[in-house]
Parts: sequence; C-alpha cells; structure tokens
Amino acid sequence: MKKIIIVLLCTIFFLATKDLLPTEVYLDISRGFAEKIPVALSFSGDKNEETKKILVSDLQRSGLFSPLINDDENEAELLIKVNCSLKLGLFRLEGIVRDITTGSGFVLGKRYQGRYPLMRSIVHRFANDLVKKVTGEKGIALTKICFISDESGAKEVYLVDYDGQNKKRVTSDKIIAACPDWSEDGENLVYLSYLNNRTEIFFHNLKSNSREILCSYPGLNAFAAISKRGEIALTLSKDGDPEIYVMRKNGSYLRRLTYSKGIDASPSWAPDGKKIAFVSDRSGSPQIYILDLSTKKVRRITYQGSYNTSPAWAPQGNLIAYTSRRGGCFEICIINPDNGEFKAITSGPGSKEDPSWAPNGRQLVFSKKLGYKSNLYIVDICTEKSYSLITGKGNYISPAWSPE
Amino acid sequence: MGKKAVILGILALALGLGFNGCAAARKKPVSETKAQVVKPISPAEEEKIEEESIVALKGKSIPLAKAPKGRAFAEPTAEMRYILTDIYFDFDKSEIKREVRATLDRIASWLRKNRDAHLMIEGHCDERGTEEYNLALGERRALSVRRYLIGLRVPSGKLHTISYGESKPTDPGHNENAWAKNRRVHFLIAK
Repeated sequence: MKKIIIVLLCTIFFLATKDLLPTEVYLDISRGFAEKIPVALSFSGDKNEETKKILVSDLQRSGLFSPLINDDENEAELLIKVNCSLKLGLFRLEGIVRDITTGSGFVLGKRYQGRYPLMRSIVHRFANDLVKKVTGEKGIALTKICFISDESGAKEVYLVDYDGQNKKRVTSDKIIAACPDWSEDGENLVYLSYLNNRTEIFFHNLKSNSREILCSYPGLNAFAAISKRGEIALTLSKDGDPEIYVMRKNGSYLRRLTYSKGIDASPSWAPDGKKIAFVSDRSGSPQIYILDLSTKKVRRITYQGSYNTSPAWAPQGNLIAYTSRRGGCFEICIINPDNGEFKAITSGPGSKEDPSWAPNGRQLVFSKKLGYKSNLYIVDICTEKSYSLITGKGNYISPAWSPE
Repeated sequence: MGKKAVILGILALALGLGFNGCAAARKKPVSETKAQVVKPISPAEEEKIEEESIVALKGKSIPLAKAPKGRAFAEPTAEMRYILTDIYFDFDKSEIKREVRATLDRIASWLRKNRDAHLMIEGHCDERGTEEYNLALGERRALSVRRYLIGLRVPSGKLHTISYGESKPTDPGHNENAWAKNRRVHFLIAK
C-alpha cells in the first residue's frame, strides 16, 4: 500500500503550505507524480452491470484508484468483490475489499440495503466508505454541483450529481439567475435572480423547494458566498460603488468591509472564516486580493497578467483557485497566498473559468467555453487531467460544488 | 475668474446634492452658477469643468436611491429614443469616453426638465470577460454614467442602476463589431 502514501502526500501538499513538507515531495508533485492504486473488481448477482458502471466511475473520479480494465488480479493491489440482489424493490449490496499485497488482506467489508431508486446512492456510499478507509478522508461520491444553464431558453439554476447524473432544474423563473452557491450545510442554495427586474439574492431550501429574498438593496446584489459558520459575504453597490459586505444568514447585521473606488467583487471565504479572497480593480486591472477580517488589512496576491478573477479558496488549507487570462484565453490557476507561488492547472483549447473546489480539496469544477458554447469540466489538481461533467444543448456555467 | 466660479459652483452643487447638511457651501455659489451656465464657454473650458466636477465626486460615493414604487421602467418612446441613446465603453473599462459626453449632457438636461422622470441605467458587457466579473463591470459602467449625470446636476434620487453583465447582448455576433455594440449602457425610463 505504499502508493497510497504517495497519493496522500500529493494531496497533503495542496492542503498544507509548502514549507511544512520535505522538499522531495514538492519535487514529485511538480513532475506531476501521482500514482493511483490499481484495483481489480468482480461483480455478481442482480444489476451487476449497472452497479459496476457506477462504482468504476466513482473509483476513477476519486483520483485515488485506477480500476483495471481486464480485472487482472495479478496487477492489482486491491481486490473488490461486490454482490448485489434486488428482491421486492429492495436493493442490497455486499462489498468486500482485500489488499492482495499483504498477508491478512482484509480492508473493508460492508452490507447496504435500500429501495431500488436509491441504488446509485448505495453504490456511492460504498465508494465513500472505501475512500474513507484508505485515506481517512470523506469521499465525494455523494456530493452535488449546482450551476446555471440556458438549455430551457432562460438562465436557470440546476443541480447535478458529481458524476454528471440526475440533472435537475431548481428554478423556473424564465428570466435570469446567476452565481449560485451552497449553504454550509448543503441544504440551501443562494443565487441572484432578476425575477423582480432587479438583482436580488434568493435563499432557496432544496428540501422544501421554498425560497425567500435575502437582500434587495438598490443597485447590485450579487456573489453571495456562505462561510462554514453561516455568515454571508456579498457585493452590494447600494453605497454608490460595488463593495464587499458581510451579513448573517437571515440578512441582518450588515457590515461594509471594503472602501476602494472601483469594483470589489466575488468574495470567497477562507475555510476558517477569518479571511476573504476577492477581486478588485483598484490597481487598474482585475486582481485577486485577501482581506483579513480581524485587522481589516487588504493584500494583493496576484501579480502575473492583467486579468485575474473569480477566486475560490480551497476547503482545507491554503490554496486559492482563480481564473487568469493568458493570451486570448482564460485558464484555471492555483496560488499559495502565503508565498505567491502559482501555476496553471488547465491547458489546451477553450477558455476556462469560474473554478469551485470539491470538498476533498483535490478536484475543481469549472466551465470551459469552446466555439462559443460552455460546458462543465472537472480537473484533478494532482494529475492536472480534466474530464467532462456535463454537456448538452445549452450552455453550462457558474458551477459550485456542494459541501460533503 | 469665470472658469473658477463655475468649477466651484458645480463642485458645491455636487456636494450639496449628496450631503444636504452642507448648507454653507451650498447657498452662495448656486446663483453664480446659474449666471455662468448661460454664458457660452469654449470647448476647452467645458472639458476642464467636467473633469473638476468628477474629481469633486471622487471618493464621496452617493448612496443609491430606492426605485420608485408602483412605477415600471420601460423602453423610451419613439420621440425619447433620440435623447436616450446607448453609451459605449472600451473593453474592460467603465470610464466615460469623450465622444459620449454630448449624449449625457442631453440626457441630463432632459432629466432636469422632466422632474417626475426616473432613469434606469442598465450596464452591459461583451462576452469576453469572465461571467462573474462582467456582472460587476456592468454595474460599474452604470454607476459611472450615474456619477456623471449627478455631476451635471441631475438629482441622484432619479437615477437607478442594474447590471446584466454579459447576459443580454444586443448583437449576438462574436467579433469586434458586435463586442463594441455590447459594451454599453442602455436606458429605461419611468415617467
């Protein structure tokens, strides 16, 4: 299982600051070194083709495992045996995981059952338990991504599972919705809607499908972002200029944080809720800044290029993803705000923008515009490989990944 | 001397509109301004005056007023359309360009005459920036026009802003010609 350690170290680099780690680990990563654990799978029982498809996708999307195509046990380190049954609408899954490189070998054994429509979540749960067992961290197989699409003719808010399945429309306002984000508990969305012919922030409960208007000040009300403690940062122009404000989740106790002339927009909370990254054009071009909430001091962190926007602070540790203009296109970059070290993690044709982190801090979802059409993609920051999340007849933009 | 008085007058007016408590600065120069405005000013002088009035408003943002209740904003009528024409901007910029000043002067004088009218200033962007930032940039463009009109003695309570970012292009093309048309401020009116 030594490869697991390498993968873990790779993840840790991106979660911790560089100087906390030995130099050789950093070098490994800069070469793009992130080996995956080869896994052989065997399935039996009812619905095993369907189960296999879901689990193989989960293992690939975790970035930790590489399922072997021929399921050759000789090349594998882990062996996963899954048996399923479907009786009277009840789906059961039994999964056993063995490490074939060690003597005893037993890693995980678990049984799940639930109504058949819950089959996908049952398989996802097994994938999550496996990730938890191997890395100690929660898996992302049950997470969702919200986004904006115009496929119905108007820009509406949608939800999709992290593997591109179960796309669902949340709003049907037939006007424009924009910049959706999640509440810290994952049960609500905040977004901007022009429903009342102005920009207003809506707070939408996904369970009850009910919503309320959180704020409706004169001018711009946009970019609401909720911290882990449930505070909301946003941009308002009510005082005559777009500035960053914070308020409680019910809209009370509004405080203004920035006072620069020009744009202050797109706030993103540090995981500890003590700092906010945002975009400002106070230097003459859009750049990323950090505001320390206790000292109220503002510090610029991007100096490369003349257009850096949409910061997203990683859910753990100290990395900020953002959109950077390079030539005529945008790429997704990540920067360590402490030492200013940064790199682009996307490349190739198309303009990539608006990154949002998976709760594990390893993947980012973003939109890519190619030939004037936008689709959503996910990139693994260790391997810098990206794959499609959702495509279709419309445009798919402004993704935000749910908490765990 | 004349130039200086106009500058002072506009500055004082601009401040007075934003800060009603500022009575001392407001009283005297108002009449002087009235006297000076009718006197023809050379183009070079006029330019100077506007620059100064904008400087005076810098850093002293005037809070936005609530939109008037029960009154809907609509596209300007046919006879209004030649006054309320779109204002265009450079890429990634929100500064008022010299060539649109005459248009804004016309709008300002119309608004000063039509006291009940409210103006909705819509900020728009071309498709090239990032989605989120364009929403902020559109608002900034609308606010620039608002600030300019306030500098021309339009009461701030009549001016309202909304940004559509890159969501509502007027030209669906993907070339410089279309982008130039889409980087605009568009006006709606409530009479």
